Amino acid sequence: MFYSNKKLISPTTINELHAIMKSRTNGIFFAGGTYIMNQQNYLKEEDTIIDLSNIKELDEITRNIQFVDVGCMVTANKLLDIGKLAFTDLLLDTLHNTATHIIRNQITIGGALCTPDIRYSLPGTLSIMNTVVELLDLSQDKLVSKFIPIDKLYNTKGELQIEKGVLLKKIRISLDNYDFEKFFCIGDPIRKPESTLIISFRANIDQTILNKVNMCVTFPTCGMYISNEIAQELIGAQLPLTISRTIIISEKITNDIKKEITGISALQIERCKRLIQSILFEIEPNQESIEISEGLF
Amino acid sequence: MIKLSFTLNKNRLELMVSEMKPLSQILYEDLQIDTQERNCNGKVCGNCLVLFDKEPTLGCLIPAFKLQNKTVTTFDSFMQTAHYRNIRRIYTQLNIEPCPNCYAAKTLIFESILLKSKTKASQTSTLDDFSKNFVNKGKNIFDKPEILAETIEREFLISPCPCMNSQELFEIAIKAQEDRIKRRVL
Ligand SMILES: Cc1cc2nc3c(=O)[nH]c(=O)nc-3n(C[C@H](O)[C@H](O)[C@H](O)COP(=O)(O)OP(=O)(O)OC[C@H]3O[C@@H](n4cnc5c(N)ncnc54)[C@H](O)[C@@H]3O)c2cc1C
Ligand code: FES
Repeated sequence: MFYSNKKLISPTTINELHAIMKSRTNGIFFAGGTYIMNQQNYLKEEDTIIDLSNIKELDEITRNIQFVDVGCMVTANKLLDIGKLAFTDLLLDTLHNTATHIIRNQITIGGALCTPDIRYSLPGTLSIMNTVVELLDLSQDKLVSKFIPIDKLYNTKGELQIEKGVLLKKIRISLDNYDFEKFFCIGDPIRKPESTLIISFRANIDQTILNKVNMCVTFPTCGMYISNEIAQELIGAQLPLTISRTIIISEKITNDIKKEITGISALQIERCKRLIQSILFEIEPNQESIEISEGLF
Repeated sequence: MIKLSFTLNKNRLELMVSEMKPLSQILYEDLQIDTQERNCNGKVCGNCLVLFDKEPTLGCLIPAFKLQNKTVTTFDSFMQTAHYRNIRRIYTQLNIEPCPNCYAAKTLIFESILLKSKTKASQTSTLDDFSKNFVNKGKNIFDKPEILAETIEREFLISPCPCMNSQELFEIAIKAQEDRIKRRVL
């Protein structure tokens, strides 16, 4: 059975964790356990379970005016509760959409970003929020830490690219405000992740001109798509966008997705196209910035 | 193997089990409690729900080593509490209740929703510390413990048995919350 005798180690500090991992290539981090406990053949006979829950430092949230640092062992519910007054709706909607309250009590931020083969909504949303992650390489003699943009954790198939022995220590979420945000999750991510489609979108608007666009489309079992080129093309566009422009852009994006990601169904592509059209069509000129600039003259 | 010491339904227990054995299987195989699901292999049936340190939790997602010094309450024991009697009263009042297959699971999900709305109402002061450096965007969600229809629908995703519709689930949650406030069931 998958739970037959396993060695278990529960370090209480990062230094202790480092000492354990340096001498061990078969350590498996155990965070909330919602993924690990659901997998039949994930744990191998020789694996040692490394329980991260006693390392206080990994469960901390700190902030300044520009960003919030969230330790990898912070649960999705804790981030949702504490984040209510700090984050914009895009991240809150994404967290609300993650499983159910009962399971969110257990899901950790590190675990949600480090499942080997399935991507839900959090990586996509955090990617377009300019989030960076701190990685700690625990396999080296000296503790090596580096920050990388969150989307660099994955390839286009959505597969995790970090080596065994590397800990995602924390994420740094930037607190920039955007004028327009949308989050959609279509389908049943719990029971039918293979037909689910998730879109995270945000844009900045300067009066009637689009001046910043970030979008990520996630297909949980096939991959993630972030379009920098098309986002670049939209910069400077006059609002509201015409119907024909929204159709052209949505077709470009879906053609790009078909080229980059394999295994997506025709239905997912069609839904994706229509959702992008409706999001683009909804972006309106920024009345507030128009009024401010009129007041200046 | 790990030597566990935990409280099950108010009884202190000691047990030797594998570190990663799920709580749902411990209850069935080691403690002969056969009223709950053992393992649905990721189908998310919800029938292994228990109260783990008072919080509704799926027993198949809790490995043995997490049980050390914790409290587990199974549905049979939960039925002896005022919280259960509150939910049961509303089932009777409205003449609607879950079918026998998912009765325990759905009732514990109601418990989770009601507990959550209670903590929301009492959280304001602890969150102020964190929020004082942020611009208050006027989103004070702590004014009243709201139960939203969409929340209800989402929470019951882990008990997919179709014996009740969303309207019925919503009505029970709202009425049970009113009843708890009226009778001061804390
Ligand atoms: C019924 C159900 C429904 C779900 N629905 C959703 C949903 O709708 N949306 C959603 O986003 N998620 C959902 N999830 C959660 C998701 O599938 C994963 O189970 C979860 O994100 C894993 O988090 P965890 O903390 O439990 O991690 P664990 O299960 O402990 O670990 C997951 C993986 O990450 C590795 N890991 C953990 N922490 C770190 C770290 N700090 N650094 C490096 N590696 C690490 C582990 O070794 C393991 O490989 C659902 C889960 C369940 C059971
Ligand atoms: S046995 Fe736990 S969800 Fe089915």
